[in-house]
Amino acid sequence: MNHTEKTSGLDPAARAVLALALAIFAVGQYLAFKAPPDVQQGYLIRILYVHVGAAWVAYLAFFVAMVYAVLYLWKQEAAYDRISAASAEIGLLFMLLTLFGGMMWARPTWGVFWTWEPRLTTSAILTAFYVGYFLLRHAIEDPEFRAKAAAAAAILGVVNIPINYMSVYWWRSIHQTATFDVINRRTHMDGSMVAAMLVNLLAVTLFYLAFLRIKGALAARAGAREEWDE
Amino acid sequence: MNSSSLGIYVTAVYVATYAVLFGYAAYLLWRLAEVDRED
Repeated sequence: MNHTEKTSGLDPAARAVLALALAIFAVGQYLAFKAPPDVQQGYLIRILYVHVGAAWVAYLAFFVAMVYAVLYLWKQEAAYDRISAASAEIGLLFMLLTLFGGMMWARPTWGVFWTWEPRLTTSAILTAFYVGYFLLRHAIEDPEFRAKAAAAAAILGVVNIPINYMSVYWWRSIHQTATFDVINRRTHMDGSMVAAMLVNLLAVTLFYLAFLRIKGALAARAGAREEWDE
Repeated sequence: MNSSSLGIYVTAVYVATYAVLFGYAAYLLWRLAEVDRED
């Protein structure tokens, strides 16, 4: 049997999620541009609608990478390692987007693109950690040892997430506290702003799921080819 | 800082977001098509 026969092309689930992501993102963007200006920041607040989503997806992707890393160590199946790496890659991409968005927001509000305050510092550490994760993957040739080392790194990496999230509460500095205070379950935003942010948040989450599905399929095909070649 | 110069920062963030979302989607779909063709 041709091992790629059943898996060629974009599978219906990925296609549906990607289409849904595009549709919801279009609505989210419309809401973001319709939302009123902020009392203090004016229309600069529009950065929030995509910045928070990018940070959320980075957190989610690193968390999923950790879950699949645990599954790999438990079940010893290469597919789990591939999905873990795929999720970490997407997470790193969104983390870089988060840093860029943050810098573009910092310049007009704080007067500088970058400052070593707690949230930014922990974000830089989080990003550097996952850059290191991929350096580690590329440095090890043996697939089994690489998968084990990467799994350990992916598990260790998520420790950075609560530190990064809580940094604005633990070490009060110039970065604002969370837009959605999940600890006290409250937000200071107007309803239309909340709607714009949540719709964009949902859209980028769906983009993440579609990306992971496609990346997973690509990684599976690469794995199947390696086995075929052996 | 006047509102027109603030617009540059907002635009930069949205352009970067679109580039990541659509660019990465396009890259993955292109990779999938490449793999299909190679197989």
